[in-house]
Amino acid sequence: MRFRTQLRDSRTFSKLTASLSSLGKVCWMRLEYEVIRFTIIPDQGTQVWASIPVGTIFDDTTYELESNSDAINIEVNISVLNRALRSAWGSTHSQLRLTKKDKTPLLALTVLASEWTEGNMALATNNDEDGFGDDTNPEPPADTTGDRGPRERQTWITQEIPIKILHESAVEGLHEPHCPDPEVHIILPNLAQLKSISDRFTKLASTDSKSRQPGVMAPEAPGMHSVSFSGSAANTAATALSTNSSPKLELSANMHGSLRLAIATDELRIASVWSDLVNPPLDPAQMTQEQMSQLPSELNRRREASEGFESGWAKVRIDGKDWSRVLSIGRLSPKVVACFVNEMALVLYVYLPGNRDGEESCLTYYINSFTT
Amino acid sequence: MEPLFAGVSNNAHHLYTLLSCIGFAHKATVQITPDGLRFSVEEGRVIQGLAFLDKSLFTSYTFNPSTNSEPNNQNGTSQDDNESSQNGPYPHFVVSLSAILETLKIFGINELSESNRPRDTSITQTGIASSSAFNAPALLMDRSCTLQYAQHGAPLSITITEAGVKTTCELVTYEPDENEADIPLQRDAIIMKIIMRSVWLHNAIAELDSSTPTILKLSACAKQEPYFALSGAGGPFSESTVEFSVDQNNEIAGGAGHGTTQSQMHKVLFDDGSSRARATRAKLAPTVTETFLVSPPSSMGERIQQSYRFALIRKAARAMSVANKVSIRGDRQGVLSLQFMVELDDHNVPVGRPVGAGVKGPNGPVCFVDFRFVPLLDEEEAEMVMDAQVE
Repeated sequence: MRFRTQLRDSRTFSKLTASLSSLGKVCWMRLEYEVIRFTIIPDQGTQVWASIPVGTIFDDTTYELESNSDAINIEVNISVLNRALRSAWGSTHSQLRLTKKDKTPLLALTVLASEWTEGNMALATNNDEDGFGDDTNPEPPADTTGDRGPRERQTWITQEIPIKILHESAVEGLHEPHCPDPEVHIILPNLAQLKSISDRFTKLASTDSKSRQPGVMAPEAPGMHSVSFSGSAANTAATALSTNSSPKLELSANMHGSLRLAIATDELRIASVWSDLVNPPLDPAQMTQEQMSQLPSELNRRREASEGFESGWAKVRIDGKDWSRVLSIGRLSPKVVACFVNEMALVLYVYLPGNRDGEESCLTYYINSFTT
Repeated sequence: MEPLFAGVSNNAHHLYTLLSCIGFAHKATVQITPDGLRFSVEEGRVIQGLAFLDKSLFTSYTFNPSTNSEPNNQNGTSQDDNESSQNGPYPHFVVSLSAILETLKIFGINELSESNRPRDTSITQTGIASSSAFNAPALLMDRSCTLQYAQHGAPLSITITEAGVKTTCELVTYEPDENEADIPLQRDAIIMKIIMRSVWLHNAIAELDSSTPTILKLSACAKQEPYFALSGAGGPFSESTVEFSVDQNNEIAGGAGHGTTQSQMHKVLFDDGSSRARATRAKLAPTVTETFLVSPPSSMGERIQQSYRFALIRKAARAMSVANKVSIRGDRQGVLSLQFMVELDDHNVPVGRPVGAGVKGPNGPVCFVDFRFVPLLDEEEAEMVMDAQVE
């Protein structure tokens, strides 16, 4: 078993791991000859299945992989990997390899950091500048003697990330969720904007319930006794598990370019509507014209406006905080296609920009809809 | 059907600035008048905050009262003093003020400043008024914010439109508590009226606040020193006092030269090392006051002395930091009124912008935010000091 590669784009790799780490700690990383797969399946909340071509983050000319099963399955704490990758930012040369130390398998990240020194520094071991003093292990020790004038100094930093090797049989049972054909697919607007509005809504709903003082309300207040949002969430405790009843956002879309984000509480109903978004056409290479025309989304697309603006909407209810974590992928400024399976699930296909050779990096997020 | 009220603003920033001044309470009572919207908040019947959104803040303001047959004389006073009666013929209702503020923030006006409202802690005059040069003013161009109240009992809706997104918030309106009344300020029995720049009051309160007092003592006298002093008492530390006294050496210009006096004032307040810990002697002046009228009735002696709960005064800190000037008034019963004049700045809007109706001259519209405080009675005061000592 052997894995060794140079990093091609440590910045993207680091942003990617940062976004993934917000969803869960334990990441199944599967190294294959052509693609690297990252999978996070948290106890609750959103699952993500990412498939990144080797060349997107690694330098494929130096990529070496040897395994009996043609793949290496690793379990890694993704936030530890992310922290390690931060030291590789802006470095010209960084290498990731699979190694072993006292029988513990490790991913070793070696970074060549260049910095400009003012000179006259007796000791040049600034390796723990990045806050990872314990892990650092300068590989060839930096040349500290000799002339002490100002010069560029190179430091080798090696960070060791403990991992588990998963046997092929351990991952056999893991499959991507299977979803019915979506009713609506639509390209999401700017994720940063969507995230800031979503966060505001979540905050509105949570400050609302927090700061409620029964004494302040007038007793004859209309609508006070209607079913509250948080109350209904409690009914679905079986689904919600321990999602600490954070507010649920209602996200809906249609095949005519509209996306609607809404939340309701005792005190207010608020909704943002985006219009003129794109409902992307399906790839005709994937299926026949006839098959395609039977898809619920294509049926919805053909619905005429005569059926009313309210027709053909598909709706899901999602956890506000979880949604916000999902949207953190926005830092990679991807193109996101959202697929709505009405009242059941939301599947996001996140395509990272800057693909080479037409290979597509795709992250797939599976978000369950909460029932009312 | 034509709505009872609709107002369109292209600068939700202004609405946010004014309403955030009274953001200390969760719920606000709103009254719609022909001259603007009056937002009132209160807590425990001892503090009341009033913000008046003058109709000049809106590019379009339509109000169609169905029962507006009787003429009323509120027009003059409401704009001047927010003095209109709460139970007038105009529609009034209770809504969630925190939800309004949160919704107005969607307008993207507040992204760069604080995420939470650090009203109580901001000592310097930062606040919302000092918008940064990095606020993208161009983004404000094609935005609009519409407030609408269709009819009695309908929700108050706020619609925010900006590039490609339309956000609508419908706030449930509640019946106001019939017993709710304004804290009465006896306008014919005003015995004290002091007008000065708000930043000085803010600095003084912030200074006193550092010793965590429970009581604010106000002392004013026209004849002898200290002419005007604020003390913080009842805290775990000793009492500290900020005096605004007359400067004998410098020219006594009674309010002239704001620019220079301001910098001197800062010096007096913060310069000498001991000022943090104990009493600060401000040598410069009711030079800082523009108006200084103290005329207690003969029964009270020459000096007006009243105490207020410090925690309540602190709730006006946001208004102090945002406002330009403050008028400090007290009536014979000791009710304290702080009336803040807020000059809404337009300098985050590019020059040459087609100014709306709300813009009066280059400085933007001027609005008022009012606070009223019920004084502490002597027994209450003693009790609070006792409590503080027990702690």
